[in-house]
Amino acid sequence: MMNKNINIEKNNPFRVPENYFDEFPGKVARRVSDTDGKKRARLYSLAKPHLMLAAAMIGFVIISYTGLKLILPDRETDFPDINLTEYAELLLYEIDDFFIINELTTVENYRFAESLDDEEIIEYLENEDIEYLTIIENL
Amino acid sequence: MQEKITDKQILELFRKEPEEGFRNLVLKYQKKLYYHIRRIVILHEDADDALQNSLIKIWQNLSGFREISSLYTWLYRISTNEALSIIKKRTHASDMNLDSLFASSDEGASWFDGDLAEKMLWEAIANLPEKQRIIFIMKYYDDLKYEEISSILETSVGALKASYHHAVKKIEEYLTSR
Repeated sequence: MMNKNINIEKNNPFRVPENYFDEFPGKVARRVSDTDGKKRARLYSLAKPHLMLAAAMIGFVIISYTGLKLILPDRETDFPDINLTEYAELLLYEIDDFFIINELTTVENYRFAESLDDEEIIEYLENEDIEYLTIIENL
Repeated sequence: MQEKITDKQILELFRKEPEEGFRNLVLKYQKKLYYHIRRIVILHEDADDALQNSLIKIWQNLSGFREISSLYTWLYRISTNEALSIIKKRTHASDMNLDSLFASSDEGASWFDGDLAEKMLWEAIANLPEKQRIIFIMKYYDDLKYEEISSILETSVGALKASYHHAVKKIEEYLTSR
């Protein structure tokens, strides 16, 4: 590499403190555990405000609900207890084809449907599976 | 024993027992990395700082090491960057002058053991531009191949060869002019 007139050996001129390499692994291990500990603490301190806010909101909801339950009296509803299945059956029996035709031919509803002619009404009822005979009988 | 453990064994051990795997890595590479850093920064206290910082980064990132490059190349890259960070923190360009460097530090020149010729050589090396100096140190002192240096510094082999050639010329001119 070097000019032949320059005779400098490739020595290592850098002295190192005594026992440096013996002690170095322990020194690094201590720094590693310090760094890991600080990292965990930092993550916790970053999350802490959010955790506190979430806890405060949950606390507020619980206290508000409890407070309202204590303050407000139990109210009775105006509607009787009713079984949903019974209600559905009631609807099916009460609202039949006769009811539909009747509703369509009353004055108020007629005004609403006055743009439709009879043919269109019959076609609609047929599409709703209402028997033709039933339609004729009730016209 | 630690010198004989392979990189593959170190990585396997790290996956099972991270602290033990890391300890073996430190024992295997501490001297090599130390002297590589020391040749860049010159002062022992700076080399100690840079080596510790490098190993902390290695500890934090070793679990994500993908083995795209060799472990050795990866360690070298981290330690080179840490050494350069130390140099960047030095306030004046003249801080690479050996006398002013030793004068500014607590350790002084006591940790430099070379004779006058070696001191002149290191002054010549210290006067090289930063990247050229690192390439020269890695090629001449660390005995790395151009392909390995290329992988570490992410520079082409052609550029490295040209840079090394110029570095040698400048050092020879410096020494012959004294």
